[in-house]
Amino acid sequence: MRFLIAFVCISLSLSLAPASLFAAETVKDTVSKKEPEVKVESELEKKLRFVASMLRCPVCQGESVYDSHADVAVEMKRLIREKIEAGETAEEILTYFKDRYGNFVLMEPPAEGLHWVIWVFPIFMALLGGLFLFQNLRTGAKDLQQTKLDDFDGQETTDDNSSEVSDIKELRL
Amino acid sequence: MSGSLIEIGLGATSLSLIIAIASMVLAFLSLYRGAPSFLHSARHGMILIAVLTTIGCFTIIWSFVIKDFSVLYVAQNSNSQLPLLYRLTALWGAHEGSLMLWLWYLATFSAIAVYVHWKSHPLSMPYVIMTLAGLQIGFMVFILFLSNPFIEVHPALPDGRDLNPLLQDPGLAFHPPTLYMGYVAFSIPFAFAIAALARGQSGREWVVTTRRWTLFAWVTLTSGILLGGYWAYYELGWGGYWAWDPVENASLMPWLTGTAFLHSIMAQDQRNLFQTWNVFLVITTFALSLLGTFLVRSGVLTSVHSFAADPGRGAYILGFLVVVSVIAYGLLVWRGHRLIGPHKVSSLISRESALLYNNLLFVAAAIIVLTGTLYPLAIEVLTGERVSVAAPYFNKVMAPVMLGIVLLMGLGPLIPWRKSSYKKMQQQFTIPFGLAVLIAVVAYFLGATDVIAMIAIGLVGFVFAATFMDIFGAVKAHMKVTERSWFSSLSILAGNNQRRYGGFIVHLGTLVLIIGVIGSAFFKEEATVNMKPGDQVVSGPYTLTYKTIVPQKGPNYTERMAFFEWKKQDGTTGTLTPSKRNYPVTQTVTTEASILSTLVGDLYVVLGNEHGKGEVTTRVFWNPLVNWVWIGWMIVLLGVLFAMTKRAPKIVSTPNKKPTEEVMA
Amino acid sequence: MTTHPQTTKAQKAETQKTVAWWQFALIGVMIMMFILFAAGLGRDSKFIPSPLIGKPAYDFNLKQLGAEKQIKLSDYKGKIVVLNFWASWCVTCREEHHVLLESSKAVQPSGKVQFIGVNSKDTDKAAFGFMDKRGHFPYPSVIDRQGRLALEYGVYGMPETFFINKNGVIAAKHIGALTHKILADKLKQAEALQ
Repeated sequence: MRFLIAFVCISLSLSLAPASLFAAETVKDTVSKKEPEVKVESELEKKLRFVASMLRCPVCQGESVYDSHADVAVEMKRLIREKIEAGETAEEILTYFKDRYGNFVLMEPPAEGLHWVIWVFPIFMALLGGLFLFQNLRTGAKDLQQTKLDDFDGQETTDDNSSEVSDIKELRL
Repeated sequence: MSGSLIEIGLGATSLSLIIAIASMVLAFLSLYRGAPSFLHSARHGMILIAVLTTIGCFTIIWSFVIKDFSVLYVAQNSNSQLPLLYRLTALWGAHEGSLMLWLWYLATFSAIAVYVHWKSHPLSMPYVIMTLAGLQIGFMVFILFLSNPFIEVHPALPDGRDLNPLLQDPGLAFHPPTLYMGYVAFSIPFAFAIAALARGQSGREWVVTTRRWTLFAWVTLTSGILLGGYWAYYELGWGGYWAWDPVENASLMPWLTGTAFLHSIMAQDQRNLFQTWNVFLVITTFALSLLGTFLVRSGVLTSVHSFAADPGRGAYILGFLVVVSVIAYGLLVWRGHRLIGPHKVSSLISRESALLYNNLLFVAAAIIVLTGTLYPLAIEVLTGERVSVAAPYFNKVMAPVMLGIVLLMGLGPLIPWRKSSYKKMQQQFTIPFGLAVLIAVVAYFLGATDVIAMIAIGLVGFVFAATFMDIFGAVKAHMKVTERSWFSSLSILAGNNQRRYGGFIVHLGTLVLIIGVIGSAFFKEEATVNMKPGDQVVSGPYTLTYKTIVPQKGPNYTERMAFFEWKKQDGTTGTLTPSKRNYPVTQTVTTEASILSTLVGDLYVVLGNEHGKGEVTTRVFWNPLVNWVWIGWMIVLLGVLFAMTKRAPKIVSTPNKKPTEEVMA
Repeated sequence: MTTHPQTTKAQKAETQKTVAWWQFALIGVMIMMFILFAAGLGRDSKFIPSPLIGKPAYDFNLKQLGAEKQIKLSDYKGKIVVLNFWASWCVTCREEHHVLLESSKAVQPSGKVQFIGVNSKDTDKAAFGFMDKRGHFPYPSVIDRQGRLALEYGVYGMPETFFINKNGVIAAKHIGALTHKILADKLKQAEALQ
């Protein structure tokens, strides 16, 4: 059962991963080589963005390390750059920070321990909502069969024409 | 002299607390003693409170204007060098003033609501006044005893601290008051919902009144949220406008449930459905507004713009939230069933059921945002572990829900009430659907390789096509019958169905906004490069050349401003000047992005660190279609204005009609 | 109601039943949320548990502040090490400064405890300016010019203090300004940990 849930989670998260993350890596390699002064983002910088976007800036607490201008984030970026140059993979670098800062430093809870809850919850919600709908519409359709449709043919009005102004007059009578 | 001015403000606010208590008691007594004069007095009380709190707010603003640093709040949030505009907006620069603004809105809206709806809601009025006065008391006690903006210091301080530099920007200057206005305006529908529950009835006027106020609250909240996004985009310098920050999420939750209500109220209006559900949505929307305040102000969640946390204040707001929720939801649980009408949704494909699906999706979205926002807190309380739930999670989970909502936007308004059939659906939607598939395929070959992006683009095409085909069909039929030009036909149709066509305009605006979101989320280009003077970088259709960097001086800051020249393929050129500002008083550095904004997209440049000899790290973004987000917002505003021009229907008294069971009960 | 005679008692009862179902759900969710918030208010939002506790401390070998000498953490094995990250620009560090001065003077002579400062992301000049004004530490500090050691120890912000037991294992950590009480408590924890 657990494997099944994990599988669903992983396939969902893979299929839904924002394109911008990957799109960024294929951006504009097509700069012409005739103009030597044109700067292109280096492969290193792309990898840096990939890793640093998955880490949360420890002091600003809402931004990713990549987007933050805070001192710690700047130093973390420098360290990540060195680690990429030394040939470490994204996973190794993320683990390095996780081992020192805890899961707090990751932008989303890791797929381990209890944290599958937050991934399964939306699916659970969807199922519950669907069940509610099915239930509601089924009883509703039954009602309809018992009622003659032409009862309320034509204009769309409500049965509840009660108005407070008229009600108060009636109450006083 | 100035010292006594702020004392007048304190006096006025204290007096308003006493009047609020008196009004609440009088409104309560009027229920039992049946004395109309009691209720009249309560009404006068509500109007007097509005006047008194206006005086209270004004004394604080005036203290900022005359730079009276003997007022602690003024000294903490302004400075003699601060420009007048920001001295005015400094009222909501921190906790105490923000709450005063909240109270002022609440008092003003209460007075307007009591005055305007006095005649049409005679039976609800005691409950409405009691609820509103109760809410006012809650805020007044908080302001007077826990977060007092009227505190003086003697002798006066020579000069003040500065206003938070992040708030010194026109975008953020007007983001909080608009957002608060949206939050507070939900209190009026809330009061009417309480009245409906207490009376066990929500009649015709209830629908009209709550819808109007919710529409007003919704449009201000939307504007507040988008102003915040606009500010984040211009000021925070990370190239985006929405970060799924807890504070942003807190404002999104009531927006989602409020939007759900604006849709489901139609079913109550037209078909007398969902009465209890609608009351639930109104209550939840207001409760989520309060929850947002609690989350932002108590420091329970940490966030980019978390304000100074104070557990005492947090505990008070939590207590207030508990009291409001227990009363409101308690009434709902106790008496909610009395509102239920005889009908049910009778068909899987009908306007009613489309509204039901819509509501499920919006509420699911709100629950997802709530869960994601509270999850770190829950995990910490349960296991002691600290985790983060940030943008990646919300993007993944919300995307499918949002796609579902867009799909319904195309289907819902075109499906008839009561019952439609698959055959009719086929007639209506085959062409738009074909078009959607075509657009998605074209988008794929143009480079939209992401599945979500492809579906989203196809759906936007679908909604456009379906909506315009429907309007076109109606106009054509009208032209045939009346033999008028298409323009006059359209204006007559729209004039006679302001709400429907206003809704179409709002949907159109939302679509434009969504196009902006799709463009900037999926087709963004980003590059971070170290540049020396003379270096170039290519971003979108632009080539950017770095010229130089120079020091500059502003009124209360110094800055390093870089000059870039942009050049488009067609030969047009111009200059961009991103900078880094240093505010000496608060010792903070802000980065000012420089943006070339066009309908096609924005070229967005931010400075990073300098490395000497003019070399500087530069982040360059090409954000396609971002402007469509703000344009879409304008169209939404227009649509709401158009829908609101419809006059509220006059309630005709029907003397022959028997009072319904509910009234008797 | 009169227009719909089909609204039978049975149907009423059914609506009542569904009402009861969501009533319980609503009340349950509310209560859970309020408990959560109340519990959330009671905790310190600055506190973030470190995964390093119970793990061997990273063994640094850095230059001492104001001396031509290297300091190596493992040289102090057998003693409890109080590793304090500080900087001249850090405002909260001023608050805890007297605590560090007083308690290190009181505890260090026993020979069981060694304090080490880590001057992080600072200049020597500013660091000495800070100590000249507020009092010199009666123990050495190492220079962590770039803040690398701070990253190695998962430091969120200055000041942070680590308590390393005599086997070189991190026993406890404190984020924010130290007080005498906190310091004594954490020292006891470091002593207790084998």
